[in-house]
Amino acid sequence: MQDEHGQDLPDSEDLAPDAFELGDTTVPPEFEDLITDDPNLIVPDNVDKEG
Amino acid sequence: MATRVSGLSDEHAAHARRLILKAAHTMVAHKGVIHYSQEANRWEGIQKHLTIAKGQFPTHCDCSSTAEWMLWDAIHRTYNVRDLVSNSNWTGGFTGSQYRHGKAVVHDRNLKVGDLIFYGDQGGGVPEHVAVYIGGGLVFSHGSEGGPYILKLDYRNDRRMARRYI
Repeated sequence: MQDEHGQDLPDSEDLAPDAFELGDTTVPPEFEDLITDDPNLIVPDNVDKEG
Repeated sequence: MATRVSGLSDEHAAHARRLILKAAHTMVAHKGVIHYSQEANRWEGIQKHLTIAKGQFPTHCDCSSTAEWMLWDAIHRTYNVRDLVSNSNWTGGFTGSQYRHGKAVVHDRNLKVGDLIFYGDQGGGVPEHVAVYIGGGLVFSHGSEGGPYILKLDYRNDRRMARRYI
């Protein structure tokens, strides 16, 4: 697949010029079964380190 | 065409964001083989040139190195964008460097996939933690050995600024 300038688009199978540029308010459907919403299951985050 | 931090076109920016979504989904689906690491191996994603386009992802990483790899894969490996995330030529970074770069996203309604969300303050204004926005009020977060997780944007009560690099 090529863009409007005739340049090849890498990984064009993933290309989707759609709602991602319009802002978004919906949960991507593929994530619905992966959401962790029980705070008891979430270990506190480690503090990030420099380096 | 809108001016972006990355300079990418509409189509390329959308593609970059889709790669980030694919990386987030794939890593959470394979969390059993992913270990939380703050050691040097946390940069294996960039150092080994792993790309989600081939189904590859780092298995040793922390919050900031995962976020950095996702953006490296989406905008540098794919479109050769310079290191706008930590300004270290894609050799490293942490919440402090990421927080100083990119463009602030002030309102939640303007959040887009791939924006980084910062939490907490470990001193000097350096955030404690970073997560990657995936849309729908959700973030991808890898802050502990049990992760990565898909969580609600305000799963912590100390959310700070969001920043955009795409």
